[in-house]
Amino acid sequence: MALCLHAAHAQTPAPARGAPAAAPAAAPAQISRDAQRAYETTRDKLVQIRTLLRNSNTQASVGSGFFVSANGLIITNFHVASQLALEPERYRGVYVPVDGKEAEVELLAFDVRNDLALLRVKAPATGMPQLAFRGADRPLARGERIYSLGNPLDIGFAVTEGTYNGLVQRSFYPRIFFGGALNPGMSGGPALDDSGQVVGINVSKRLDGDLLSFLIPAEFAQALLAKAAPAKPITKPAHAEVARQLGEHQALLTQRFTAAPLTPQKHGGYSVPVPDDALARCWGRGREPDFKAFDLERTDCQIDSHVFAGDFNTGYIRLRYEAYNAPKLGPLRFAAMYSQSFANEYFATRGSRKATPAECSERFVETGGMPMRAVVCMSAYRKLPGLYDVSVLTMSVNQSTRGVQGRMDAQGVSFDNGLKLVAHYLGGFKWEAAP
Amino acid sequence: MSAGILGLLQATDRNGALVAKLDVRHWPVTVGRALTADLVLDDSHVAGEHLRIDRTPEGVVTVQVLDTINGVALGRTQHGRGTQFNWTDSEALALGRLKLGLRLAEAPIEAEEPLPHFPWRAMAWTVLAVMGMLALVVGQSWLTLTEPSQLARQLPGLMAAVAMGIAVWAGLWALATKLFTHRLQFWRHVRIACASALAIQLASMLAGLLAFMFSLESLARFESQLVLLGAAAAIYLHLTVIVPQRRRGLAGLVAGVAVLGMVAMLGTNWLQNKRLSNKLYMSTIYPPSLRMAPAVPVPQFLDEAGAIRERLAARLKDREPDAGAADDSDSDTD
Repeated sequence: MALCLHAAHAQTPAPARGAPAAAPAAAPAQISRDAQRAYETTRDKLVQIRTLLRNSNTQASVGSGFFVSANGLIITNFHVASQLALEPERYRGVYVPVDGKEAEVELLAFDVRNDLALLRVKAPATGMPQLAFRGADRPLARGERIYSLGNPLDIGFAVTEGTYNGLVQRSFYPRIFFGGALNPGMSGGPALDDSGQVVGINVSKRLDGDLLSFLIPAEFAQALLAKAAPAKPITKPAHAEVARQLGEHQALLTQRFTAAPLTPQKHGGYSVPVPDDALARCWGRGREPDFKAFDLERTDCQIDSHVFAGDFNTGYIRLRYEAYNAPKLGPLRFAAMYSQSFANEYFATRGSRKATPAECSERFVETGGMPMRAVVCMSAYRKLPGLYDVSVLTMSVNQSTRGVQGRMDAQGVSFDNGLKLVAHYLGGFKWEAAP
Repeated sequence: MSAGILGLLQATDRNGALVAKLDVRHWPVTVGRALTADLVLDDSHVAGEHLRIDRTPEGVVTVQVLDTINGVALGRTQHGRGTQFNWTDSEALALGRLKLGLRLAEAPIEAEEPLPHFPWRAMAWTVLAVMGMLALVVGQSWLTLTEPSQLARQLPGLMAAVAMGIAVWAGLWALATKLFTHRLQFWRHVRIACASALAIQLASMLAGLLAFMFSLESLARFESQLVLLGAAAAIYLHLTVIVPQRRRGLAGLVAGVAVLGMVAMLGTNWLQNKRLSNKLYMSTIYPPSLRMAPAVPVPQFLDEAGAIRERLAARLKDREPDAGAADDSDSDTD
């Protein structure tokens, strides 16, 4: 649902080249005087970040960034600079300031969990203009105006105006809900308050709504800057470091998922486990009108803890249930329908560049006073050692014309945590004979 | 016929049609293309004077091969120019493209065969097989089309399609049969097709049932191989109708092709995914009361699942990431 806002070349629309009118100087008239001021005071600190293929010098992706120190340190998103971290032998990075003179940058550090990267201008620099961060002691009020800057779709630098709407509910890491437009290419650009101080970094938006955009709170960028300013540039593929940070992420995710018992959700005599409302977002659908022969209730839950890990998102948990009740169908027809639903599941049979084909283990298990059929499948990440995708598929086999089927997918977890999640999940099912 | 007939020589073509015959009234007789021969055969592979057939006073029929380049064959034995042999049994001689048979006057004749009756029994079997097949279609649809309106709407079309399928399948086999044996045997092929479809379905249902009852996952995983074996058996049965005299050779041929097919199926899966079956887990469920296998506690299940770690480690080892990159084209996830 959420779109990361860097523009890979395939996403760049064709008319981009022939649209010089959209250049920053020709800011549309409806932008307020405040926005104009925000742009004017920031323009020399704002840059476009490009990753280029070393061989052909063509751009592989573009995003935005901004100077945060006098010696040329730049903050941007990890998803803008990930190719510099994972394939430095194939890609190099450059920045383009508003006045248009391209120069090389190098990657110093990144924070995968908060989607941030710290770059440095390659040529020694002093006295560079820089943006300041708004202190945590001065929190914004809901509804306050903020201005987001960047270079959308490589068209030209732009400022968009919007409102601060507090933090996103049920986001695994804090994210600012920005009521304004963000577009691909603006990723990594700064969002400023009225006084021109950085409150957040542009990161993503929702595709299924309007003006629903997200910022990374400035404190994470400050933390990365404080920690990594003296670091040496990254010149070799940093998969081990990405895996280490994802390891911290999945440890936290597992800990939060298993900290408390899952909430029971009732379907007839069955209880299925759903995560706490504060942790996951669940959607339910009951009684499909298309199916007259049986009742079907579905629940989908997802923990919004996605982390961008190079070519793919990982680090999240998804749960799904289907509760069937078909007293009119009889045991045989129910079994046939129930089997069909159990068979109709996707697993990584073939494997990919990201991960190996799945390996599975299956059994009848006894849990919560009923027998269930359970299948657990895992695949190992090829380049991120110690991380796995884990899926568990299960269905009750205790009643002849009713049952529940559940599936949990946990992406990017360690092997042991994967099994821990499965245990926690399977332990949450229960059968209580109908009253 | 006069009492002087000593025997009857009959030449037939490959289809068994009579092309020439000779009432033998004296020994020896000659056979050949020349008009001077006693039995004149119109076949370009037969010499002018091909054979001389005689009978010794002891009653043994002898054959002398005359001036021919092709010679003559009795059973599998070839007799060339200038040789002589005894024609002892009643087997036909092969000369040129024709067969030459001999009936001696004193040889006993086989009893009269009654005319064939209407094949009631075969028809009963045919009806049974077709009914069974349609019952299977109805049963399957009843099982899987759970919405009443769906069943009513789709069943007639489905039955027609299955009937058409069987008719086309049996029809093609019948054409092949006609080509080789001059009989269609259409209904026999229908019987074979229906019976084997039923048998395959029953076998795979039984395999699924046993897999569920005793948690024998591999039985469920290799169901398609079972179907392949059943199909091979069905094709063997069809073929024996076409060439009934070569049962053993056919069995070998079909078994060979089936083994090759099986190896290809398993081999493809192995090469692609390093596993023999492309089914990851057992998905067919029967009513819970049929389950015999025990349900284990969750910790034991997870203990067993721990073995996945080693298996994944092996998978990581045998295709390193850079080799994986070369395989981009078949990665359908991401």
